Amino acid sequence: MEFFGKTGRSARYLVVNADESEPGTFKDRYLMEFIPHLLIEGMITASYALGSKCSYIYIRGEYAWIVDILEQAIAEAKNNGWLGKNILGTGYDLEIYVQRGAGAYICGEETALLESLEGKRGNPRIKPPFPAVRGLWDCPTVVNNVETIAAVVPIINEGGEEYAKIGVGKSTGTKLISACGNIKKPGVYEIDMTISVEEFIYSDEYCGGMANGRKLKACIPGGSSVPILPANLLLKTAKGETRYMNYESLADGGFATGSMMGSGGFIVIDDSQCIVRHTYTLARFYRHESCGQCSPCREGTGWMEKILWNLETGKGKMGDIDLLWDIQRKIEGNTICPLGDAAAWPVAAAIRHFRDEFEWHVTNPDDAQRRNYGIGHYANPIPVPVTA
Amino acid sequence: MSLSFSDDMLKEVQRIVESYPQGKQKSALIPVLHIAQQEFGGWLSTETMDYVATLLGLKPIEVYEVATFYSMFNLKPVGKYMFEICQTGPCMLNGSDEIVAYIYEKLGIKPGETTTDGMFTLKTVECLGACGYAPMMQQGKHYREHLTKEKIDTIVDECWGMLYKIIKNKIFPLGDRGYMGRKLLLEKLTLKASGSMSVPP
Repeated sequence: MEFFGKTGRSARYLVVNADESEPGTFKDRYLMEFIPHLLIEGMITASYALGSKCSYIYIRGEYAWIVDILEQAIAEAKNNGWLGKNILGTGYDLEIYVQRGAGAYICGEETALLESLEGKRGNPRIKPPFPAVRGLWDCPTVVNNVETIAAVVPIINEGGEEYAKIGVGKSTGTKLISACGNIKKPGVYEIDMTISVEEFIYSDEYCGGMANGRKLKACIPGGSSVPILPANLLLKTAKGETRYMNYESLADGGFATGSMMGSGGFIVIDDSQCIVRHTYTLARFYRHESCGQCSPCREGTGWMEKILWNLETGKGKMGDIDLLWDIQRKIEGNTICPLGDAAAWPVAAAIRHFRDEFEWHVTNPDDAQRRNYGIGHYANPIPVPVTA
Repeated sequence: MSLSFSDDMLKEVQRIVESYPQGKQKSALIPVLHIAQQEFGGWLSTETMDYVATLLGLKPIEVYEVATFYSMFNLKPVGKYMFEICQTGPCMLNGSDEIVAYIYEKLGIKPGETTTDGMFTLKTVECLGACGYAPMMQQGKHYREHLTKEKIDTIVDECWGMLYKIIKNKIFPLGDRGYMGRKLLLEKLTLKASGSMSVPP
């Protein structure tokens, strides 16, 4: 129990983070909806290891029907003696409760999640102290993702060494990838991290190739927060090597020519889509979800959204692109929680790799206004949206 | 008029409060606000929030600050059926804008508005975690995925159908007893259910 330090006596908690709200990610939903018992089993094992007598699943409020599924799974486990008092005669007691959130991306950040679980606004706390020292109700708490806790089961059953044989390098075990966007077969795929990105997108076993016979333009390989990569850098690294679906290979080249595995939300974008518009929706997302505690994030996300909207609707100036770059640089690293970084990275990467497209919106304001991008692969008009 | 939960609901609140250690009943706030919103017309009035505060022994401000933070709590009255359309990145790539535009065309409501008959509210929301099944929306407790214009038509009709059922059961709780007024009323509602009563923009 090194992690918990010397806080021996007080109650300890295990909290499972099921507040899955990263755009592009829907793998935890799959686990909870179709194999809830895997999560429950993982929680029982992890709680036993931590010495927690009461564990919580904090689930996002919109997954209302999954709460029922989980509660039923918990009731079944209880009826069979896997939960409750004196589990299987070992003298160990454990209760698992499901707590529903109410629609706040920020509650996926562990300290904001704990605040929300305590019935407050989801404002992240300043760390340290880390939750392992002072977490839920000031007691030592471990917060882990659904996928992590579910992976406990095969690791315990097969042994750590056996489990680590799957995969390659440091990317051992399997990873759930939730693929979405303009592909033929969106969905959740479990991969062993040895396949290449190209195989993942084009093979029939996985995404099945691009939808509607379009061409691959760009991809966000790890949920909306990680840098977007253009097709040429996605399939091959800057050095010309094949890029694989694992932590090291996706991060190859840093943020200049690489990206991150992130949460495994694999968003594929085809050549009919506008990067500026896509970046705008992400900026709007982060503005909406910023908790408002830190000025760089609260103000910066709003400015980025406005500037991107101006560019997108043909009202932008050339200087706006540099202004955007400047704002994102001033948000990154200057906030309590990583939401600031998460808001800055997609904008930075979009400018880094698709600057010509931003410039096109400035030089062709009329076309941009009509949302008919004119040049070749942009020729797919989008109807004028009705914004609130 | 003072609000109050039914006995069943109070039992549910009690069950929720018991899932936390002694004295930590503030944690029950979000789940109880969910129940309150569902019970008292789909939104949280100041009166409702004050009632929740007394119920959990909190200061009213503690309830207000939470209710205003989370996007699932409605602080204004909403229609009977709420369409919450996801419009973030992956849904946008798959045409959520067209769906919003189509609902405007069909029901005459923009995001944040309610039809004049109080039936539908349109709300645009940020990522709901169903990116692979885009475009999608939340309607009540469930997700409606792979939306198309035809699917929106079906959903709207379904909502009318549900309301029709509720009203029918209210007026004729004992089932088919038959009297003249019934036929007329049912005809009127059927008209509504078939969509010919949709509200002009």
